[in-house]
Amino acid sequence: MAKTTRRRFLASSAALAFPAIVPSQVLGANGAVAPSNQITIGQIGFGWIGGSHLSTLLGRKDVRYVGACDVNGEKLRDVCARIEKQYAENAGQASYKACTAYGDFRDMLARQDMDAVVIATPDHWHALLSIHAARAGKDIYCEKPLTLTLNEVRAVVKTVRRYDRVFQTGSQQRSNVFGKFRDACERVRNGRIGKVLSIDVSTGNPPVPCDLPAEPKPDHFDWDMWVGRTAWRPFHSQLADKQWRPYEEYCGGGFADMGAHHFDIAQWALGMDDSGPVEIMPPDGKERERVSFKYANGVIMNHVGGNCLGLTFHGTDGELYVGRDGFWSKPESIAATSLSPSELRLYRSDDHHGNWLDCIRTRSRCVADVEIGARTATICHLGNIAYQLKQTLQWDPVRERFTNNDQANRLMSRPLRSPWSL
Amino acid sequence: MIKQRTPLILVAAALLFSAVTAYGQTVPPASQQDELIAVLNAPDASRQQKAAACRQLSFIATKRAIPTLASLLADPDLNHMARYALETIPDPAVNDALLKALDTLQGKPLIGVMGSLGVRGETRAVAPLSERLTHQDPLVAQAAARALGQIGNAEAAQALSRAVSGAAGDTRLAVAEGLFRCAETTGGPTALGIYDRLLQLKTPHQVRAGALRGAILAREDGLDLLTTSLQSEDYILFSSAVQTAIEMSDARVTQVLSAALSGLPADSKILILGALAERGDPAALPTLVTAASRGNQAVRIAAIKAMPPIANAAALGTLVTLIKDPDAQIVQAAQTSLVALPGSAADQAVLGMLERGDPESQLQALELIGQRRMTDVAPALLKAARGNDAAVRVASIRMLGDLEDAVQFPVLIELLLGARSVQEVRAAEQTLSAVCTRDARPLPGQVTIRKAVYGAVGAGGSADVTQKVADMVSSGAAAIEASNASFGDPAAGVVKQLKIEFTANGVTQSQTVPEGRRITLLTSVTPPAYVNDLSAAMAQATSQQKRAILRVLRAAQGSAALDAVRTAMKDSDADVSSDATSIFCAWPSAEVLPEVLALARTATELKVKVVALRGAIRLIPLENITDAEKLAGFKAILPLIQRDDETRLLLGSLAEIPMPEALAITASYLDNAAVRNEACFAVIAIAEKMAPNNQAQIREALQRVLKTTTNAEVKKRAAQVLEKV
Repeated sequence: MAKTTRRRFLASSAALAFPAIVPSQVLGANGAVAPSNQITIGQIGFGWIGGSHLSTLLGRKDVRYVGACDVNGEKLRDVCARIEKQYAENAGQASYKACTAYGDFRDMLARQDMDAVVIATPDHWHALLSIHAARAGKDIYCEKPLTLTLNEVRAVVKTVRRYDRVFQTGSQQRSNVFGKFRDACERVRNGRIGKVLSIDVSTGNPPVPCDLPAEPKPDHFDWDMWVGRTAWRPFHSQLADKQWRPYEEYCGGGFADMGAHHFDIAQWALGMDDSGPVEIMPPDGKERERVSFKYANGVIMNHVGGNCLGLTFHGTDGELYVGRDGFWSKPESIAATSLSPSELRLYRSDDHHGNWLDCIRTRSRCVADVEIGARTATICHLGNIAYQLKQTLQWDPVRERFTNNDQANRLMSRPLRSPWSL
Repeated sequence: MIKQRTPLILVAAALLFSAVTAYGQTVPPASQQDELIAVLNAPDASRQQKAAACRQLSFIATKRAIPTLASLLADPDLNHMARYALETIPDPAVNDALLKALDTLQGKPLIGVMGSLGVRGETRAVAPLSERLTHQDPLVAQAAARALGQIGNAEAAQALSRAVSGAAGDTRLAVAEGLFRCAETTGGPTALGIYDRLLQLKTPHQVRAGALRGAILAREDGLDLLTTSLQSEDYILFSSAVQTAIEMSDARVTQVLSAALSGLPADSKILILGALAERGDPAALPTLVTAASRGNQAVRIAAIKAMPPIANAAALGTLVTLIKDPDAQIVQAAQTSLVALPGSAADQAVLGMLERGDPESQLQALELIGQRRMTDVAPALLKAARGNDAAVRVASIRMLGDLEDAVQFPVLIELLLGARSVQEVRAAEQTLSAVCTRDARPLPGQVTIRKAVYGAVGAGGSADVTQKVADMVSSGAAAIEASNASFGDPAAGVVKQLKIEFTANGVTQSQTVPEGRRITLLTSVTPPAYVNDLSAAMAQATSQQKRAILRVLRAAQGSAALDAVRTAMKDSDADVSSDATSIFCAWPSAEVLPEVLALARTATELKVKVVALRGAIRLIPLENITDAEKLAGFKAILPLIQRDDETRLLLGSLAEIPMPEALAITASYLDNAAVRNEACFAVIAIAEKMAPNNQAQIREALQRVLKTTTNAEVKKRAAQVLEKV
């Protein structure tokens, strides 16, 4: 068997010689990353958050887009033009032709000269695309929440591990983006609020069934691909133009949207990244207006309404709020006093994309590794199922099955529309 | 027929209706099963209605629904939804229906049924699925491979093993996927056989990487294979082995990784060092220390960064040594790791650097003391602050101000009086000011609420809660919480804030806090002993030191500090008295106003007159007096103003007084080109507050603004106000 060089492994362009692998901070030390150090990427989906990923990654010298994929042909054309314009400017050239447009992600994933992919599609595609990308040997950055159903959670984790892929979940609050989330988790983990009693997580409501009528489909849109593994339905411009968030066919609603961020922080603070709650209690029409979760250690996690910006930890010695609007505590000293070196520190990342790229180079696990994203998605699905069934559910986080409700177990999966399968 | 159709249409309509109700309405009662089956059998039900019925059946269907659902497996429009309902029915009869359909379906419906058999783990499907591994349609062959993998028994594994050699392209990948799944399900010797087989095949890099991981982990003792793979020149196998090592709990793995390090290229070493760090085994430290001490820069940095989680005394010594390395990036990495190193031994090492090191080490130690937030270091800092090196003295004095440790205030004053350079005086001043602020204690006293608003941070509702807050203060509250519990909810569902403008002990303040936090309505006062010490020090201080002490007194505030400043205003040193006068005129509370006014009237020196006038213009609005009294105050100083700068300030203050006379005064400056802009703003501001009274005067003043200004924004605002008059 021919020896595989690092370049062939990572970027697989045999024409390029690959230099020594070095951490990105060293690569960037002189502000000029050599072309052969670049990680070649493709991106699937450019609506909603996809545009943000594009802006961020286009600005990095250690990354190069070689492919772009979207079901909207017009958008795809614009995206490719933007990428090529940027690279042409960077190179001081009149034009730059090296970013291929793809309508079908399978064609893009088949490229041998692409190291990694960013998945920024509607939620119902996340798991399937992650699985396809892992099978194709790509490292993955996938938007949150990672899956549409509970059964997909383990399928994604197993596939990523099976093929030794580096995986970053798009829960960027783990990199302290938008607020001091890591700082808050470190304080909770170090007992600054005493024993944790409960957590109030502000997020949106569960989804509702889609009731949109049919509309004529524009020629430039691959609607069959957009529908993907979900039940067939005719085109509607609202769904095609990013307004799919309320509907259960395609996602977990507002509950899973910001829940995937804030439940994630709760899990981190509790040290539950490889586990989760054991009981889910539906609204009771009295004191409990929304779903609550109970962990095996007795901690209660409440879904609360409000601005969806953050979460509050209540402990025996104080309270701590962390959100996109601030970081404060009662007493104030909990938030105001820094950690000493003897206190526990959590995985430090201050650049979510950078962390992903570093881990690709060093084959390490990311700050929001696939297991972490999967366990957080699980909480979102558990909550939505409790809302749906209005029954108290017992959950075994090791076997990942409901232990007291067969109907809940039936809701763990949704058969995929052919030819798609996990 | 008509009788039968009516309820079906109603059921179908109800299905669609349920789709628009609130969450939690999508699971129907079990009793609806027959009605839903009837919808599927109704010839006039639409595709949409039947699809909705299948979705509902997926929650509740039993064996009774199977025949109807199975009849739809070949339906080009509904085969997916039929499986949607069938796949979740626990009854084994579903598998019979799916197996039967295998022989009759083609294309996507067939692929779907094969997938469902895999999901359900139906072992009877192994034979028919195995036959399809060589199907002419590659999508069918690939679906068969994945389904067999999900069933995952020995027979499925055998079929896949037989097929893998002959499969090509994506089908080979799918067969490999099936084999991986079988290995994960069966474990043991079967799994080991699969992984070893996959390792031997020519497959894409991800398959070989996964196979090696599996082969190492599936072995009872995977160390030999790990060791061999770490020597591989194939980067895929090497990196997969390193990644796999992180997952292994066997203590001997650390030794294997360490032993593999020598002779490897730098990039491979970095991977291994990262794995040693992630494993967190202290036994790796000697390897890290060696790698950190010499060789390739990137490798050294990787080793240094790997140390903190597993550090001990050996690592400490290495890092302390490396902090003097000629390579700046090594020094930076060592410093970062020293900051993160846990435990008191590291603190002692840093103190040792401060006490016994050369000046460069001492400066590094001071940096580390701050970053590590070390405590009980005041004696060492004081010693360094009195040492021989000027830079170390300055840095030590500054660090004393950052400490949470208590340091005797007179000792800090001694440092100021003993300062040997301007930089030291400045550092001592900053430290004394910081300590005065830090040790200040709340001072109960007179609080006047001027304005309080609780509402949305951005756009949204808000409420004027001035009276409510004033009532809370009257009833003894010293701190007000920003919460709906305190003020109701003026902007439901959005984040809110509380802003209070108040005067406490003559000092006007404005504070804003988000929901959940509190505003403390008090001033604070520095301990009197500190002020006494500062006052006493003035007698022995040089001119430069006296001026520094005056700035500290300004930070200390309070009447005793003010007295000390008053005294200094008469100092024989002109620089000291000048600084004292400036500080006096800039004092934050209105108690100094009479003296400041007197200075403004009597001062012969322009500089003093200017600072006094500026102080008076600032202080008059702070007084707890009526608008008429404030206006009288401003009128009294009006003749004393000689420069445009002070006129502009005065116009800004007059803008807050909505009285006809204030309007007349400000309007009188509209013809003065130097201050016209401020005059226009003041006229508009007063007019806005005065409307609808004195309309004629307001109209005339605004029309003059429109006529004289060339500023488009001013014109627009003036016109808007004029429209309301």
